Amino acid sequence: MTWVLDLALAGLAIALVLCFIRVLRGPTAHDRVVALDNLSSTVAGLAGVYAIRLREAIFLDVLIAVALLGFISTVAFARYLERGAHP
Amino acid sequence: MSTVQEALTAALLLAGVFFSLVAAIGIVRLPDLYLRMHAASKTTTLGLAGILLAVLVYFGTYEVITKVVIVLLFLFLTAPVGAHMIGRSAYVCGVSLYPKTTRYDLERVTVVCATRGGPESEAVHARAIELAKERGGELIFLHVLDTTVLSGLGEKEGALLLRQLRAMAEAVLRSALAQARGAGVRARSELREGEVSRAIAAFVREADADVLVVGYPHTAPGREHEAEERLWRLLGGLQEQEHVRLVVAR
Repeated sequence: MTWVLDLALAGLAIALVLCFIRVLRGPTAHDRVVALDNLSSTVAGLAGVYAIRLREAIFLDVLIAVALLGFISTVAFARYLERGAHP
Repeated sequence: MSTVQEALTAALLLAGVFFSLVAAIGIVRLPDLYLRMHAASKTTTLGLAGILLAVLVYFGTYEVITKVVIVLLFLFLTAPVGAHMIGRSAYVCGVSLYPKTTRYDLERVTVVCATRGGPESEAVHARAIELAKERGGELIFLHVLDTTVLSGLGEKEGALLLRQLRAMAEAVLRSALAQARGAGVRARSELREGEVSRAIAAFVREADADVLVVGYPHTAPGREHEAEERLWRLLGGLQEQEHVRLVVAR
């Protein structure tokens, strides 16, 4: 079981790095927002893996908070960028 | 903790991580924003859902099951909303597509409206304005002065008539532009001279138009075949440009 959890953590870590590459490369602000949204989902998944690894169901609340924040920030960014299009 | 439970947890976890990883690779590798969004949607719906189900199987208590179900519902409701908002925002801001995209239904189109003027043209203008409005496109009103009617006249007479015809054509285009302005659509106008169907076909090619709106040719009652013939002549001129959509309004 532990090797599965290690593998999962490694996989999610690689996914985080790849998302960061897209955040850095852009090229548009929308690309960065999509990558950040994906980043927050991956971090939420990381919280889920930690819940199993540490046998603490309380990490599920962390997952909920991160997923919620990811959604809200995506919507906020989308509206902000769209307003920029029609001043 | 039974072996079955453990095996199921491991399988769901690995599936979730696999999809998260595939999505991340897609986000880096795919060529434009819209395709990357397609990849990104896998992280929440398959990746995170897999991990959540693994958590559900691993703990199996009522508290965890309730929370996981609520979070799953929340994720499946919010992921499409967020993706839609980002996609719309990107489209409005004009984020470009991958150049090899083969189909783009929301492309801004050029609508050319060939107008004759007169009261029965108003319905044709209205159709063109509506089309330009719904596709967010550029609208051009085109009026062709039929110079073939001048061929039998003397030089002086012909020049006089041509001047009058030009003044009339300009008035026709002005009224069409006013109609478009009234509907809140920006438009411009073009005046051409020559044989009508050939001039229209030439202009459509020149403006690289996507839609051509024409009125049904008017003829005296009992001579409808002439109208059909004129339409066919126009279609013949357009045949080389297969991507042009012809709209015949009445």
